[in-house]
Amino acid sequence: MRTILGAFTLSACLLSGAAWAAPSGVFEAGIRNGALVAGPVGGPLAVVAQGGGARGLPCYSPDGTRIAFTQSAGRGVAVADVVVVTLDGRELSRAAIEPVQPGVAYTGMQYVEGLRWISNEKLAVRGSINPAQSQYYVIDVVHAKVVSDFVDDGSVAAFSPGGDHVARLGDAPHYVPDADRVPSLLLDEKPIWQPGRGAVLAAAPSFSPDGASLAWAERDTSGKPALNIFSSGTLHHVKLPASSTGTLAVTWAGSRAVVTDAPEGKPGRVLAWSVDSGSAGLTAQVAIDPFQEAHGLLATLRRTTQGNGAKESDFWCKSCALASLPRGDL
Amino acid sequence: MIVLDSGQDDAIRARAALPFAALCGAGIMAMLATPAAAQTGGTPTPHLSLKRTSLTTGDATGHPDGGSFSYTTEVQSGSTIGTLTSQDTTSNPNQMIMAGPANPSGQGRPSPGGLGRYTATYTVNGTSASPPNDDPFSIPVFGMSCYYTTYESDWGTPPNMCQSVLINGTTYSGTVTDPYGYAGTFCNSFIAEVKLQGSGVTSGNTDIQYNAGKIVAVSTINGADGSPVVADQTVAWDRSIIAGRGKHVSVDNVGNDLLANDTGGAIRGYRLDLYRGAGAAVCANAANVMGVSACTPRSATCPGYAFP
Repeated sequence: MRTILGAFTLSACLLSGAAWAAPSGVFEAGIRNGALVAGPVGGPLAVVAQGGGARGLPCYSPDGTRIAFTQSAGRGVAVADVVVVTLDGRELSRAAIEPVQPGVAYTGMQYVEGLRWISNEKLAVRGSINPAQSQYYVIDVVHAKVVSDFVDDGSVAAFSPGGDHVARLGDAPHYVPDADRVPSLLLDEKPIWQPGRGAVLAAAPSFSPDGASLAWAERDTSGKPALNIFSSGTLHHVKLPASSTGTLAVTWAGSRAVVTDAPEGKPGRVLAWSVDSGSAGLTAQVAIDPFQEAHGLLATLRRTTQGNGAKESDFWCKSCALASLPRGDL
Repeated sequence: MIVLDSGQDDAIRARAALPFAALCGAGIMAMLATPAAAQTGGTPTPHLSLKRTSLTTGDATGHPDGGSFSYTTEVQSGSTIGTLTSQDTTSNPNQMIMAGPANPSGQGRPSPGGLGRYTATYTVNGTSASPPNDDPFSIPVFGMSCYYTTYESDWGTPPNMCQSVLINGTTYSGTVTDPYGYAGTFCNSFIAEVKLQGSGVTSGNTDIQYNAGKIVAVSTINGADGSPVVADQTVAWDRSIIAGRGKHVSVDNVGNDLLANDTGGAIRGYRLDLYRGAGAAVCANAANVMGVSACTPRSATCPGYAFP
């Protein structure tokens, strides 16, 4: 049996605040034969960390000075370790996810399935419990402590920049039939949206860059989409064109919430709203994916580095289009 | 040059490349304006047909004889795709062998697969039947994961052998009697888990469900589409990858005609979550392989449907 009690055993955190010089150019971090390798795209990849259990999910920090990854801890010990190292391989922190403790039953993730940097000092960790629900942890790698530990009923949890606020879906356990679910969107554990029976979250919540607003999309019982923006304690509800029948995603471009039915770089349409004057209104309709350039660059990088022996590669650059994407995938 | 053909024989046929030039005058050839009538230096343009013979094999048949086959692959969508190989590229028909990749995590951690875009080429005397990037075919690879319903015995035995658990910041230990209106004494940790996930199975093999503040016995535990989840048959899938309901998926080294009747936000991309039954033990040694797949019934909402 594994345990959730004392879920994190953080080693002495060596983060000293020292300034690490950010590299220039485009860099790749990947896994080769269980070791973490990294280097400039197109050049040789050097071993950054090796030995011990197999590694996975490499992920550059936003400033490019650190790399987080998972390391197998042995199933009888813990689900996995989450490790942060400098570019030259110095270990900054190590968190054991779900260490085993006698007399304590295990619940939660079976594997660490995703990592995302919330800031240069905080990491979010996700693993699924069942097809709908996921367990999340937030690790403060500077102060060696867990900021939060929770279950999200839709695996859609969002974190404000810096990690001060968390939004998650609750009250919708997986094995409750759709028709009986009455989900709640919780902001810092307080419900801010309860759509009623049959309505569904159509796009995961997303915080604005300043962390002051939260946007998400819903579909009512007839499938009609709408955008919700929660800002300054007020919920703004904006009906979306009924023709938005595809998969929706909500992001932000400055102070504007952006809804796209073309997530992941697929062709589609982008609509943008703002709440600049206290009420939400349509400010722009554009026909391109705001992240098209980033998605295109990512696809090109994956294609050009294919065959170099590194798996699960993450790419980082200081000022290219990739900077518009979140650091890591939850 | 391969053109997808929805003919009844399920074959994917190359455009006809019969030696029409030997039969027709030049004027007629110009009017046809089709690759079917193309000819190079007096050599008949090769003809290539493809047919899937099993989940992991297919036949490429080239005409006329004497040529060789080659294959290329690229990621069409998703992240990780399979391989397409042939042991002898000059045998005709040429057996294509499709294989899923190893799980890149190397740790059993679920990894999504992808949709592979494949191009087959048949070359005779320097003339090819499949120009690059023209009418390739696609084969999906799904990465597997495993899920289960919580089982009472995983949480200890009431009244004195219950294990504790921490969920969303609250520790649950000891026993609870008649929880949420359901008669009996249970480990508090088990009931907390039932409330968390919405269902569970008692040691007496009764399916129970938590909903709206009550726990009740139910005849079945249902997936997201409202039908019962069935051990080793139900898979949860991403509706953006396989749209609609009533789909079945076959996955190499996993099973045939798995029922896609569950879904959820944690299952993204080319990943399938296989329901294995009750109790953590059923998933303890899950290999979470990545397998060449096919989905039925054939339709545009099944990835790789043109090469089923």
